[in-house]
Amino acid sequence: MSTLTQTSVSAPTAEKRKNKSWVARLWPERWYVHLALIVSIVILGFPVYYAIVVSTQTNAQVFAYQMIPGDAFEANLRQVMNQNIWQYMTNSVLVSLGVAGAKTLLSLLAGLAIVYFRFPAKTLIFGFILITLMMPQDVLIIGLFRFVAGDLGWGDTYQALVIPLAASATGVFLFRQHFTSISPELSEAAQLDGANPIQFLFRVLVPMSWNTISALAIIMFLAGWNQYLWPRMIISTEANQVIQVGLRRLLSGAETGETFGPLMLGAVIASIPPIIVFILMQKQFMSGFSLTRDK
Amino acid sequence: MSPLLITLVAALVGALLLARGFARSQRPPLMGALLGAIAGAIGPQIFMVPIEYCSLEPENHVFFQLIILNQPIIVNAVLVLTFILIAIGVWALLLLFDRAHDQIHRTGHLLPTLDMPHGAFRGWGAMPWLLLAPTLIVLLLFTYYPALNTLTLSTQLARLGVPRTAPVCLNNFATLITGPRQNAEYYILSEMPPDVRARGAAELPNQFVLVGWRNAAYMDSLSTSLFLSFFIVLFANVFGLLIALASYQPVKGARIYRTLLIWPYALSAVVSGVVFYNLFNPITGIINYTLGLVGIPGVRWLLEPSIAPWVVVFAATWNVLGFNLLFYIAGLQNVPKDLLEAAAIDGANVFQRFWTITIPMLSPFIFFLIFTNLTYSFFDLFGLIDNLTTGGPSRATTNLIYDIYVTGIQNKDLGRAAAQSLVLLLIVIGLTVAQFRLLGRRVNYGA
Repeated sequence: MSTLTQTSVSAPTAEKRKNKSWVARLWPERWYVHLALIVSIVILGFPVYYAIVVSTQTNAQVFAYQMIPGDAFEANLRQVMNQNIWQYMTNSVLVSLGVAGAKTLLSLLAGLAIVYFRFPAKTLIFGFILITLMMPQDVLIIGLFRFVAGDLGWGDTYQALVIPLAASATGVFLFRQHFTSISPELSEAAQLDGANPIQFLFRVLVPMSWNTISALAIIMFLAGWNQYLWPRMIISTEANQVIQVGLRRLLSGAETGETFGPLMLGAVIASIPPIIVFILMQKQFMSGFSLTRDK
Repeated sequence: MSPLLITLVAALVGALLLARGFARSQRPPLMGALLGAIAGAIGPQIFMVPIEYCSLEPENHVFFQLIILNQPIIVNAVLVLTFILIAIGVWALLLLFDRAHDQIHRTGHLLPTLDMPHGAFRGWGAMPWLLLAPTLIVLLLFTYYPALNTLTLSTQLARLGVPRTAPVCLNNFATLITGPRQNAEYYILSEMPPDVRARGAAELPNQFVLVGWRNAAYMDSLSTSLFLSFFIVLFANVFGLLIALASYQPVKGARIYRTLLIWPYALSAVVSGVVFYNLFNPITGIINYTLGLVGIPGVRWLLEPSIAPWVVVFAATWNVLGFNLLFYIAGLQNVPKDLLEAAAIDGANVFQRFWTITIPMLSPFIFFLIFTNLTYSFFDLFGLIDNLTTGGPSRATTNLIYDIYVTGIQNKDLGRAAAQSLVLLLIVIGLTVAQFRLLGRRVNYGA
C-alpha cells in the first residue's frame, strides 16, 4: 500500500517542486485534499479526544468545558475501581476468549468432517448449518432467554454467555472454503503415513491455516467483546456482568448525581482491548488489500 | 370458511401458477400443475395446523373499517393475518418445488454434492459425526430450539416468570397491527358524492372512513427502525465513499490519514452511545455549549422526539464510518487505473469517470456494506440506543429490536415479544435472500 502511494506521488511532483520558491514548497500540493482529510479526522476524532479529556476531569472541570486534561484521573480511576470495573473487564476478557476459542475449535472440527469425510446427507447437514446465518440470536432472544434461564437454569452464569454462542456458521463456511483449496494429496500422504484425522488436523491443516484461523478468532473475539443485549438479559448480579453492560452502571451508580469523568474513563478502558486487537489486525488488513490489488 | 375450502382454493391457485411457470421455462406444464396442486394443498397447513385453524373464528381486532352508506364493513386483523400466513406458506412451497424440480431437470439430482474427489479418510465410522456433533448440538439447542420456542410462544399468552401459558391464537400478532380503538385515527378516503351531500350530512355522518392500523404502537417502532436504518446506511456509505476518495488521492501522508480515519470502528456501539450521551447532553453537553458561544440557542437534543433520532443516526454513522472506509479504500484499489486513464483520454470528465467506472467497479463493496450496515442498524444499534436515549423520548428512538426487549423483558409480555421477533426474523430472512440474489447476479464483474 505504501509503495502504491509513493510511486503515484513521486515522479511528476518532484520535478514541479524544483522550480518553486520556498514559500510555494511549504504550501502542500493538493492542499484541498489535505484540508478535507484533516477536517474529517477532526470530526471523527473529536468525540474520542473529548472522552479521553473528560476521563481525567472532575465534574466542575467538565462543566467549565475545559479542553485540556484535568487533574482527577486518579480520583476517577479510584471510583471506577470501586465500582467493580476490573471485575467487568476480567469477565469480558474471559467470555470473549471463550467465545472466540470455542467458535474457532468447533468450526475447525466441523470443517474437517465436511471436507475430509464421506457420509450420508452431507449436503443437508451443511445446509442445516448455513441456514442459521439467517437466524441471528438477537432475533430469537425471547425463546433463547426462556430456554437458557428457564429450562436449563443457567441464569446469571458464565456458561450462559459462552456456550450458546459456541457454534458459528460463518466459521464452518470459512474453513470449508479454505480446506477445499488445500491440495487433496496432503491428506492422502498423511493417511499413508498412518496419521489419524485429528493428528492430520493439528499437525498439517492448522499450521497451514494460521491466517484464516487468526482472522476468524479476531472477528469472533470482537463480536464476543461487543455483545450487549444477551448479557444484559441473562446476567443479573454485578459480579458476573461484562464491561459493555457494566459501563452504564458507572453513570447511574455514582453517589453524587451524574459524574461524567468516571463514565468516560470506563468507556476508554472498555475500548483498550478492541483497539489493541485492531492494531494487531491492521497489518493483516493492509496485506489483504495488497492481495486484492495484485489480482 | 372451512379449512377444506381454503385448501382446495390454494391447491387450484398453486396448480395454475406453477403450470404457467413450467410452461414458460419449457418444462412439462402438467407436471407443474401436479406439483403446484400439492404445494398449494400443503402450504396453508404449515401455519394453520399448529394453531388448529383457530383464526377462522377470530376475536374482534379491527384492522380497518370502511363505513359505506352507513353500513360498517369491518376487516378483521386476524383474518388478514390468516391470509398472509397462508400466502407465505403456499408461496414458499411453490418456490421450493419449482427450484427443486429445476435442479433435478438440469443436473439430474436434487442436491449439489460436496464430496472431494480424493483424499477422504476412509474406515473411520462415526468419526465425522463426532466431529460435527458439538456444532450441531449447539445450533440445535441454541438456535433451532429457541426459534421453535419463539414460534410457540407467539401464539400464547405468556408472562415472564410465570410458567403457565394459554393459547391465544393469532392475537399477539393482531395487536401488533391494530391500535386501541378509543384513540383511533380516522382517514376520510373520499369526499362525499355531491348528491349525498345535498340530502344532508346528518343522514350519512361518516362515509368512506378508515379506522386506521396506523395507531398501533408497533407500527411506530417499525417506521422508526426503517427511518434509522435508511439514514444510517445512506450517510455511512455516502460519507464513507467521499472520505475514502479523498484519502485515496495521491497526497503525502495518505497512509497516516487512513489510519487516523479508520479507528473509530474499533469502538463498540455501547461506547459510542455513552460518548455521544456526554456530547449531546442538553444541559451539560459540549455541543450546546459550543453553539452558545456562537450565539445559537441550545437544542434539547435527546429530549425532543423529532431531534433525538437524528442524534442516534449521527452517533451510529460515526461508529460504522471507519469500517466502511476500510472497505471502500480496499475497493478503490480494485478499480483499474488503466481504465480510468483510457476514459480520461477519450474525454470523460471526473464525474463521468466516477459514475461509469468507479461506482460499477465498487458495486460488490457497496452491496456488502449496505447489508452489513443494515445488520448493524437492526441489531447492534440496541446497545447504542440503550445508552444514548433508552428508546425515548416518548419512544421516538425505539426500533424493532428495542421494542422486543421492552415488550418481553420490561413489560414481561413474552408472547407479544415473540410475535415481534418473528416479524423481525421475516425481515432478516428477506434481506439475506435479497443479498444472495443481488450479490450472486448483478455484482459479478470478476477481479
